[in-house]
Amino acid sequence: MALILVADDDLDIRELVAFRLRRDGHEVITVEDGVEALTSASDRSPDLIILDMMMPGLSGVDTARAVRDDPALADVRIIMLTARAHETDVVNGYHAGVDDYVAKPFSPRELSLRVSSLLARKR
Amino acid sequence: MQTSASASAQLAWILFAVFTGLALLCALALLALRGVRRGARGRGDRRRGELRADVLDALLGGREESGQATARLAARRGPAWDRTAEVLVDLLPKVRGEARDRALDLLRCRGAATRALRETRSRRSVTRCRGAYTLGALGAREHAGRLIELLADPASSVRRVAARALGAVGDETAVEPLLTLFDRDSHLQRDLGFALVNIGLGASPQLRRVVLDDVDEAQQPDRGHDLPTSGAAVLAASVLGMLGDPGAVPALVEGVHGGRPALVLACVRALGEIESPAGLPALEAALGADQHSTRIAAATSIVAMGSASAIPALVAAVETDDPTLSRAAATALLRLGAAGRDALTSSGSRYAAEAVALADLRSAS
Repeated sequence: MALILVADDDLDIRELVAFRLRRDGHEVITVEDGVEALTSASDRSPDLIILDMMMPGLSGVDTARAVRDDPALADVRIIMLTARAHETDVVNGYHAGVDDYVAKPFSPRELSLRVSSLLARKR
Repeated sequence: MQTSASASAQLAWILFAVFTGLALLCALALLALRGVRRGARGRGDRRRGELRADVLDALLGGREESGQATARLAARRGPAWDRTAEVLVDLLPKVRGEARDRALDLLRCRGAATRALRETRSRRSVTRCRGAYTLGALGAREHAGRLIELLADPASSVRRVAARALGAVGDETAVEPLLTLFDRDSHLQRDLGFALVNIGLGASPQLRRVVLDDVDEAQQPDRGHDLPTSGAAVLAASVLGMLGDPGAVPALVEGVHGGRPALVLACVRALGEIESPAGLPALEAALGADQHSTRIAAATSIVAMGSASAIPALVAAVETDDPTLSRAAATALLRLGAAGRDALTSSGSRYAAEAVALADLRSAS
């Protein structure tokens, strides 16, 4: 089972995602913004990070970019949760090192399957 | 004199004792109040925690856990159910699939739609807003008619919430009323646009009709072209672009060729968003439009389409006397790749040379 970091400024989203992933047997840390996400990622070295695209301060894309710039976090998988499905945003995310996207409103079941699939793949 | 002095001293002591006593009583009362509030907050937090736990189990749990949690939630009454319903309604726009279906089932079996409908008739605008919002969150298509009525509500906040709720419900009968509302409430443009986009491609036929009607009006021999474009037509064109409907291209092309300036600009932008090759000739024609903003939008839209067949028209735009248009067209040519760059290099325009030099600098750095 994996250590998963969830960063979203919406408490409901954090609780829903954390509940679902804990039910799947993962250990889950939740934070409210990108800066906390980077701090937690450096401290705990999660296996996977779920980032909201639109967060105050450091956006999801910028957070992903910062994670990829850290050699210690090179193997971390990143899923972006986003309500914005514009091609530019998606392309920017992939360029920043995001591994997968889940659109909001999201299906917890689908997210769970994507997490499992990503964790099963080597980076 | 000694008697009056000692009487004054006694009085002073008595007053001191009384005020000290009162101060102590106040302090004790404040401490007691703080204790009561902390206790109430603790109980409130526990109740909220239990509620959240049950909601999460109901929506995301396995069959047995979900069934038990749902039964506990459904058994709540009065304010306890009101809080539950509030939490569930807040979650509806955030999830989809089985989790959302479970929340909807629970809300509907407790008559949430009926209650929301009743709330839309409240004398308080805040309550009407809540009712409209809930109907939208529930996707209560059967109450779309009531939401349409609320577009004429005296409170602007209610009209705004009703518009968004109609988008959430997704009923195409709301398209015309939403466009009509724009003429009265142009400051709700964003909300109306959001609602129309959310209704989806089902809205497209009516949106196209609005664009074409405005073009017809502009073609009227008696000063039709001097009248201002309908704001609703501009909104309709914008939404067609956001919907990305290729079926809207003919109507938008009509708008480019025959519309009034504001509609032409909106149609040019929409064609750029749809990126259909069928729109390219109209965009090339728009490079020569009277309006500066339209010429720029046309160049930008052509770039979005990435079509090499637009090169001759873009070269012509580069060689105009309009610096902004020339630069925009030069940028567009560079983005079209080698063929665009070759055409730019062959041009005698100084803006072409400028664009090539800048591109070379960027690639060298």
